[in-house]
Amino acid sequence: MRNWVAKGLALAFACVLMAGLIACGSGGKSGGGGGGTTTAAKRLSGTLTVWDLNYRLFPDYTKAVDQLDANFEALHPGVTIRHVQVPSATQTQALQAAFTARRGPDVINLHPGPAGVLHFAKGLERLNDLVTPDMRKNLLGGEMLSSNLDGTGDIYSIPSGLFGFVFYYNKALFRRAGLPTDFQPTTWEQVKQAGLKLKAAGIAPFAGGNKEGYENGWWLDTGWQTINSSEEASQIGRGELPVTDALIKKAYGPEQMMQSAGLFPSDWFSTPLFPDGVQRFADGKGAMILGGTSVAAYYGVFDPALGEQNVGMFFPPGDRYIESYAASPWGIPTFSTNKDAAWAYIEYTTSRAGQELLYRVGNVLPARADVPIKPNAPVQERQLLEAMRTHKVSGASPHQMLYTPALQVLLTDMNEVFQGRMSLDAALQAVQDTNEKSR
Amino acid sequence: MRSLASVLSVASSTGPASPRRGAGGLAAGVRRGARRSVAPLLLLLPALVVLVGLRLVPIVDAIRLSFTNWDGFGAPRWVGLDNFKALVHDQQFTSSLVHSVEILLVMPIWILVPYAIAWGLHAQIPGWRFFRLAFFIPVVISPVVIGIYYGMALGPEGPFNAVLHAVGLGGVARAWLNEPALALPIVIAIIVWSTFGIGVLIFLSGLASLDQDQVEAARIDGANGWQIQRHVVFWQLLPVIEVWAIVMMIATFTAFFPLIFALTNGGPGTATYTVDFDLYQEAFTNGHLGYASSIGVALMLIMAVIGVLQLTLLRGRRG
Repeated sequence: MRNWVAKGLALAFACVLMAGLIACGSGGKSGGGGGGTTTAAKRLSGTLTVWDLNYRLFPDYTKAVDQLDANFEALHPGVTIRHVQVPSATQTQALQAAFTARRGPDVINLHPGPAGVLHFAKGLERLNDLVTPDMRKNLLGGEMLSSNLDGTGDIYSIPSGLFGFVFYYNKALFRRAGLPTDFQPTTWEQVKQAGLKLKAAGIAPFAGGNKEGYENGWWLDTGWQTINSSEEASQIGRGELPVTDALIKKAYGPEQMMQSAGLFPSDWFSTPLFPDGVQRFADGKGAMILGGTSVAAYYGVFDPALGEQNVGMFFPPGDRYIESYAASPWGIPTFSTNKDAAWAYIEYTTSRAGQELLYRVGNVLPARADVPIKPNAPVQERQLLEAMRTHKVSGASPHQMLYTPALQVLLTDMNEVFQGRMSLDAALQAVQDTNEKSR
Repeated sequence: MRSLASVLSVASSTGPASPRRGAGGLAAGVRRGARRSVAPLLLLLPALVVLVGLRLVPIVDAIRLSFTNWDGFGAPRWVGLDNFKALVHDQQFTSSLVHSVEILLVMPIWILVPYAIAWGLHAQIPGWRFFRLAFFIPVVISPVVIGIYYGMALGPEGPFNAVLHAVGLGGVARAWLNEPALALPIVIAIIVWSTFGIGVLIFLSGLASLDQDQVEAARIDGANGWQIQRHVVFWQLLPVIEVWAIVMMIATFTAFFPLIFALTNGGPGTATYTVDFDLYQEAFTNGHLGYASSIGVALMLIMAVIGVLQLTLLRGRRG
C-alpha cells in the first residue's frame, strides 16, 4: 500500500514538475519573441518603458508628462507607455543594476555630463546619426551631453529641459529685517551682510537642508559662475583641470563664507530629507534659499505658498554667465527592445509641441529657443527667461563634470570640510583620486 | 533526508544475513532502496532547484567575478588576485569592517537582553502577554521605516531634543546622528532595539521546552533561583544561544544595510559605513562589480571564521 502511495506521489510530482518546466520553457520563448521585437518596433508598437527620475516627485512635471505620454500614445496607437519613477537618490544604483542585467527601460533620463550620461555612455546608444536638423537648430544646453563636453563628439542623450541655480528670497521677511525688497546683490559680501541683518532680526537667513550634500554641488556651480568661466568648467570634465586646482577652492568660497557666518540652518547637515529644507522656505521659515530655475525648489513651489509678489529672485552676485544646462536629458540603453519607439518618444518630447506642453503644464524651462514665453508667466520666470536672452548662457555645470563616484565623494566630504572635520585639500584630493579612477 | 548510501547500508544490514541470497539478494535490496528513495528525492527536487539556482549558482558566479575587473557593461577581465590585494590596502573596506565588528561586539547584549526578557515573560510576570507583543513589534516594522523615523526623531529639531529641552537638559541636545563619535553607537542601539524581539521569541520557545525534571531535581537538591538559572537552565539553552549568536553574526554582516541606508546613509562622512554598505557602494554607485564581488567573498570567509570561533567557544565551554 505504502509503495503505491509513494509511486502515486512521485508520479504526481513528476507531472507537476514537467508541467512547470514546460510552462517556463514556453514563457521564455514568448518573452524572447516579445523582447526581440525589431519588426514590431519599426511599426511602433509594444510597451515603451520610460524610467524618469522626476516622475511623481514633482507634481507639475508629472501632470505634464502624463499628458505628453497620452498624446504620444494617441499619435502611435500601437505603443503603450509605462512611465516609471526612479528615485533620484538611488538612480545611479538602479541604472547600474539595469545596465548590468541588460534589461529594464527603453528610455531613461539621467544627469548630464560625467555625473550621468557619460558615466553610463558605454551602455547608451550613440545618437549622432539620429539627431535631426531641427534638433541641431533649436535645442539648447547640449554642451554636457556630448563626449567632448562642448557639443562635439559622440552624443548619447538629448536635452528635455533646462535647469540652473538662482536665489529666492522672502520679501516680507526682508522687509521685517529692514532690507530692500528689490534685493539684487552684486557681491557675495552683500549677501552675507543681508544674512547677518536677518539673523540679528531673529530670522533664519537661509532655508535648506544639506544632509545628502546636494547643496554642495549647487553652491559649487553658483560660486563658479561668479569666479570662473564655463570653459574652465568643461576642462574639469575633460580631465584638463584637476579637482585640486585653486579655481575649485575659490568657487567654494561663497558657501564657506555663509557657513562661517552661521547663516545656514542649525540642522543644515542633518535635515532628514532634502525636500524638508526646501519646504521650510515655502513655509516662511527662512529668508533666502539657493533654488533651481525649474521643476525642483523653484518659484512654482514657492509662489503658491508665499505669493508671487512676495518671492524675490536674484542671480549669483557678479555672475560672469548664466548657467543653464540640459536637465534630465533622454537616452536609450543599448539593451532597449523597442528602440524605434524610444527614439520616436525622444523626438516627440523634444519637439516644439512636446517642449511647449512640458513648459506650459509642467513649468519645465524649455530646451528650445523657439518656445515662446507664457503670457501669464510668473514674474520670476519672466525675469529668468529675459536674462537668459540678454546674458551669456552656458550649459556647463561644474559639479556634474565629475564622474558619479567622484561627485558622491565631493558631496559627502564637503560636509566634513564645512564642519571642520576634514581639510579642503584632503577632500578635493579624495575627489580627484576617485575621479581619475572612474574616468 | 536519508541518502541512497544510507538506505543501502540499512537495507544490507537489516536484511537476513543469508549466504544463500548472495548477489541476487543484494541487488534486490538495492532496487528496493532505490524505489524508496524516489519519492523523497522528487519531493526535495523543487527546493533543490531553487537552492541551486538562487544560492549556489550566484555564489559560484560571485567567486568567479571576484577574480575579475568588471564594470557591468563589457565582459569581465581576469585580474587574478588583484582585487583581494587591493582589498587589503583599501582603507574604506578596513574601516567598514571595523564598524561591522563593533556592531558584533554587542553580542553579549544581544544575548543577555532577550534572554532576561524571555525569562521574565516565561515566569508570566504581570502583563506578560502585552510585553511579548510590544517587544516583537519593532521586528515587524520595515527597517526603512525605522531608519526614517529615527532620522527625524534624532534630528536637531526632532522630538528627542524637544524632550531634553522640556526637562531642562537642553545643553545635551545635539544633532545626534551628525557626530561621528555618536552616530555608530546610536545606530547599534537602534539595531539592537529593532532585533531583540526575535531573540525574545527564540529564547521563549527554548524555555518552553526545558527539561522540567532537571529543574525540579535541582530545586529538591536545594539550589536557589540563580543557581538553577546558572547551572541548569543556561546549559539547556546553550544550543538556542548558539543558533541565535550565529544568526545575529550573519545579520551583522549582511542584514542591516537597509536600516543604515535609511538612517544615516553611511554618514556623517563614512562613520557608519559597514561592510555590506561598502559592497553596495562599490557595486552600484562606483560600478566596480568585480571588486564588490571580492568584498562579498571576503565577507563570506570572515563570517565562516567568526562562526567557527563562536561555536568553538560556546561548545568548548559546554564541554
